[in-house]
Amino acid sequence: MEFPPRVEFPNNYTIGATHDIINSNWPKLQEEVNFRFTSLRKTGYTCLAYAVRDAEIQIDMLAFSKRFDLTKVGLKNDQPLDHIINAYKKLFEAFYNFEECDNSYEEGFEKIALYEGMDEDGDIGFLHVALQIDEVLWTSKLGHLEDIAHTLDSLNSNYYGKPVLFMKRASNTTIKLFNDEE
Amino acid sequence: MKTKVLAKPQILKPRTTVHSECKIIFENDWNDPYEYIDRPKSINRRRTLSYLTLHSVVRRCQLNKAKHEDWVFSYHYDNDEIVLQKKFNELATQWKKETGGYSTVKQMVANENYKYIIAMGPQVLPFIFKDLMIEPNYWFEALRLITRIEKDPIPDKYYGNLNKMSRYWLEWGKQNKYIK
Repeated sequence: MEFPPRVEFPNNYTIGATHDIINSNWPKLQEEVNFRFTSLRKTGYTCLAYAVRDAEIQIDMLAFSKRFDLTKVGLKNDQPLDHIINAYKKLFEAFYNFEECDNSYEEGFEKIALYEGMDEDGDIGFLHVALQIDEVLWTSKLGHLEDIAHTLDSLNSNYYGKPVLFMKRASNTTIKLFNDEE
Repeated sequence: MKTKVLAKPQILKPRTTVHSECKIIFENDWNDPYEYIDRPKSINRRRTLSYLTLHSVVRRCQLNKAKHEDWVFSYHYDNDEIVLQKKFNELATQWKKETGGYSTVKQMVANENYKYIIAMGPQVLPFIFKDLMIEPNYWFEALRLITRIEKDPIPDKYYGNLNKMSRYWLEWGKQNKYIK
């Protein structure tokens, strides 16, 4: 049994991450044998919420700046908000008990990979985060599109950049994804 | 409102000259014909578009007159609702297609199609609300900039909750007669 399980698309379903979009945004995924869709398209959360499994908030620097006092963790509340990887690292440390680590698989820990690259403004900063499943497999929410299973480097592209920082936190339970609860 | 009726939307390309201490001019048909914005030295040329659109549009009327006209953007749209709706649909579809995989709001709203929609001005508000009713999406930055309200209707504690953010904006749209 694959985990996370491959999703079955209903007959009238319109795929969000179409072949063209994948080819354009994440070309390496096309050649990835482990790649599979694991959910239908959802707009209720993004990759950040997915990686830390906090469905209550579409985690984003803007949302954090409104809901929390970021100055307490050395960040700014005012625009322009800080989107560098280190700012997100501080968020994960302060609000989700993560700490920096390597990308190996460790039993009893859940690990995330933060991707960095150049955004449409020409700024280098945070672009994506993926959650580790096992020694080989990671899982991601593609923006407002579907959730997928993939290998770490198969999302490397101009669209998401590449993984530059890994963080972990202790986990006493088996990793449970949003679609498991439905 | 001063309007110019053209058969097709016309977007002038920005002039290529960039001075170290330049000012930027927007020309459009939904506000003062010329508005002036200071460009901080730290902002490079590529970032200027986003900076202007997202962080300065609201403030631009208050700023000083320009000495150099480095950037000129002109958005003239036919007043016909059908033409406007069609143009909005094209831009919105393209925006969703190009940014559907993005992970941060910063990237979603930095997209060129999103900026063009903002530049279309208040006449596009009914279409945005209509789209928001169909599916919650990140129209909030566009709504905030086009409506020019100082504090958006979303309570801080609901920031990040897409459905609730949409609901509060739709309520605002109803109260202000943008939703029929």
